[in-house]
Amino acid sequence: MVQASFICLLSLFIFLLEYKRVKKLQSKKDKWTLSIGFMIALYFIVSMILDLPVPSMNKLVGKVFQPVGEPFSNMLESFQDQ
Amino acid sequence: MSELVKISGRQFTILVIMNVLGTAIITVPAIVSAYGKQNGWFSVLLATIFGIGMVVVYNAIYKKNPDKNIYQQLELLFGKWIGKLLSFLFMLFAFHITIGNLRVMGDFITTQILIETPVEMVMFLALITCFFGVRYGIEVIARAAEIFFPYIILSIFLLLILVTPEAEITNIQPILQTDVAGAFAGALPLLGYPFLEMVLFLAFMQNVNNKRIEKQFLVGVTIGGLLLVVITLVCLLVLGVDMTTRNIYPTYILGKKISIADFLERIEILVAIIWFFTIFFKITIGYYVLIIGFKQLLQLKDYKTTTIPFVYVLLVFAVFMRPSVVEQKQFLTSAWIPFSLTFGLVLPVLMLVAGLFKNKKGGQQQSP
Repeated sequence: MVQASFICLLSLFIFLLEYKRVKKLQSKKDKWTLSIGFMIALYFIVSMILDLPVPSMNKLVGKVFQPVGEPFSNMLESFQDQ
Repeated sequence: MSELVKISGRQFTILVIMNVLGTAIITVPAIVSAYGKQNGWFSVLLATIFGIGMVVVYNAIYKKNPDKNIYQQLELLFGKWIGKLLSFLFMLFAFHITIGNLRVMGDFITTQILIETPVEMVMFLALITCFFGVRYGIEVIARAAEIFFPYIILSIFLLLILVTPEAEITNIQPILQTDVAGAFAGALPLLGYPFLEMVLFLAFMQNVNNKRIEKQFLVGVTIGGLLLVVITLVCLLVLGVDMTTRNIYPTYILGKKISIADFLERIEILVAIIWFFTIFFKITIGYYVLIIGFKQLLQLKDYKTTTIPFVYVLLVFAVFMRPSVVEQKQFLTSAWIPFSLTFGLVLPVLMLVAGLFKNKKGGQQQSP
């Protein structure tokens, strides 16, 4: 928990520094993107520190492409066994 | 942002070579020798020929709209909303490549060099370096690549020359007489890794200040591919099929074999030097392509806006990408093949076809 709090504080500091730069761009979209992006990023990093489940990209890609990839995998395995 | 930034054709070629070598230089010999056995080098050669063919397709896409990157072209060809959806999916591909490379780097360092160090810390340090590269832009990335390139080439040649005394021709015999079908099959995982990943270069080819960019792209992939063939061949010649297949990083083991007059021994750091540089540029390019995509997708004023949040996201997703190296190998030989074919082959071909239809339609509208 201490680690997570420290990361949150550090991130807030980095966010404020970056926000100062983005503010100069005078673009609302950039400001919103940075703010929302930081919130999402913070959610993921805190989840990692607190050992909460985080989605795996390999699992996601595997779910979509495994049925198509299975024949390739079987074929390659047959050569590996030889 | 990108309109003013220009890199030279030479720098572009170097970036392409770095990306072909990337993670492949250290892991490819083990993958191909598992299927092609002593003909593993032939698998790499086949994949290189395929890679050269793919570059021709990418060049054709670039030629249609030389002043637009892949994200702008997708919106132009498929309309705003479908274009944005395809851009998002393409960014997922770039994201996956970036976290994959980051994870490979972390795994290598924590299993071979810094064994007690947490993988998160290693990946964080690597990512911070890449972050600064992305932050300074493609011009700085390309210049850095140009500076480091001679050291990489020198290290590769030194490695190859120093291990030559250990080579035994019997290790690759009989040449192309048995396991030929396996050699063809062994090229499959290599198509997506590293050759179809070259599609990422379409995201900043308009930044290259050279009229012969198509040739530069071809030269880069050819040199990178041939270097991979030579390294695989030397791995097989020196280590043999069994040792090459059993090790996850056979090229690193190859460095350990160096022994000259019982004085110059185990200079495997040569391999590490080559690899740290190439992987740095590979991660940076993936990260940069991802960030450019976000700028285009959300119509942001500055691409740097999303760089910091992505450091966090890339790190977390790289950590949770997979539980083990074995699982990664399984992924590479199954889901990765259709995944990379979708974005590296199907999407570019679709873009070409859509471009042809658009031209025809435009011609018909203009003719009356």
